[in-house]
Amino acid sequence: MTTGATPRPGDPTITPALVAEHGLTSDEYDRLVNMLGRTPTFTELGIISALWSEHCSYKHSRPVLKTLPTKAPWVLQGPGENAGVISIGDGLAVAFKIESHNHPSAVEPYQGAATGVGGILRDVFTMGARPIAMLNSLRFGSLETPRVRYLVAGVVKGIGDYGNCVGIPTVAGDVMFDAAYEGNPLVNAMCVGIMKVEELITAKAEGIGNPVIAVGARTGRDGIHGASFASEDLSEENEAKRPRVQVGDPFTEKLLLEASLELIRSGHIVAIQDMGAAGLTSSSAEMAERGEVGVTIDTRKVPVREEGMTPYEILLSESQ
Amino acid sequence: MKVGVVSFPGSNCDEDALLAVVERLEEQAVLLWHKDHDLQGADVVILPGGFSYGDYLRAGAIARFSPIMQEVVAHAKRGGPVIGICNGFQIACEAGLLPGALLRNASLQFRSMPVTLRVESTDTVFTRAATAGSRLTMPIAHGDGRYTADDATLDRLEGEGRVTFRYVDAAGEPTAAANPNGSMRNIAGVANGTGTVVGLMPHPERAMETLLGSTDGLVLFQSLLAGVKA
Repeated sequence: MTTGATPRPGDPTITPALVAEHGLTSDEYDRLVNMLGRTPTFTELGIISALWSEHCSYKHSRPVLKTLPTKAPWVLQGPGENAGVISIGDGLAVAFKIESHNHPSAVEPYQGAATGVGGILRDVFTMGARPIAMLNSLRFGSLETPRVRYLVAGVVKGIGDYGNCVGIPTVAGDVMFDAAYEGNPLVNAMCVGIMKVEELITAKAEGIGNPVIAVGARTGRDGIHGASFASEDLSEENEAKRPRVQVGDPFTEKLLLEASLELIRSGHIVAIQDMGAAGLTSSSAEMAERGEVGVTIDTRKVPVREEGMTPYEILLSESQ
Repeated sequence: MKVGVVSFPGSNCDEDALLAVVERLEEQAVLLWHKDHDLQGADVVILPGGFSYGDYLRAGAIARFSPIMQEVVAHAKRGGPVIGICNGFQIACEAGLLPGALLRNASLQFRSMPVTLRVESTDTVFTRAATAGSRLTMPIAHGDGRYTADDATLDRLEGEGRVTFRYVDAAGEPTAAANPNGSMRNIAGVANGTGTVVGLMPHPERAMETLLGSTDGLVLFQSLLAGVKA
């Protein structure tokens, strides 16, 4: 990683203010400079900002998460993959995943909740499982507040519409209202899928020279830096961060679901990884790291929605 | 009997319909690909629920132009049985197989719930094994299910006995409260003039197992056999 990288013409100069805007502490920035042996480029700063965010790295919550039990004879896949997988006998296994989409839902409840559902669905079918049920757990402030009523209506509609369009029933959930959640709602969505044990596939990209194929909706300018945003404290100013919320496309995801399961069953896939938070950056880095290989990405070859997207934007988009 | 279930991109009840035929009816069923011009010798066609081609324009508006629909329309014109369920009903209306249209629910909201239907007509190939006036419980899950047609069309449908199902309350009455989407005259399903094409918003294929809440959808499938074996 210490080889030279020339800044792209037009990229902003790296300043302490720009580093702070990317959510990196000065300690973290120093560490990055030491690792590289030079000042990072704007694109590199964006990549590291996303990968080192709480949302992607669990740097703050990992010590707590580590206390949870994760090993048993029936655990086929523990933490660290797209979803957990448990054997249920008769050669069958269940994949499940729960994930929060709190920040996006706080500023844009419909798309925020909808894309939360979309994200965990992908996590489950990229393990080779067919999603069969959705659940959710929601926390809001007082229903007396117009803003909360707007959030509740939008979140419920977002979850319902997305599940209906993809054809996965929402079978259970719970909701609580408390002043503690005023302005900071919790939106957790869960997906359960079923598979034959032998259809289990992971995101371990082993083997040299394998092509990386990006499938699904084209990459646009939506959701850029969603992962870093999701790791910040929410404030009044977050309304201005609405463009960081992804926009859902349940129809394309339904096609992606069927195509992925068909592709996995064909046996031609070494590894598969959902592109969620931090988009191409996170998915490619995680797959390569698990396979102990490197990965080369030519951003000019990524199918895009808009003309003139920069490598920074392409690598950090969270288009669904 | 062989049933063909059309798979459009975005169909999401095609597998349910296929299983209903294969496992509960123990008859043959095949998926028909939307790009094909081949009904694979199917005697009956099911247009299943879902969001064909995403339904971003208007539900069913794109699906009617798909290659397979040309064959489905020709099959219907020959008197072949066709049932449109939910999105399939919307497609059948868009394709001109059935009169009327399905507009946005009056509530403007998605509705997912069990509903009670009254069988209004047993003069169709999909209700001939049912009892007229009997009540069936099955789920709905739609945002665009408000059946709409002009008064002359509605009067003609009523006069010709082509209103197949109506939303009713527990007492069997078609009240406004029992109407989940604001459909005109509480209409949940209609038939063509010969009773060979039926469309309905509720999902009979999701009401095939006691474990899943209801087996009331079974009678629509059994009606098909009642004709073949008679």
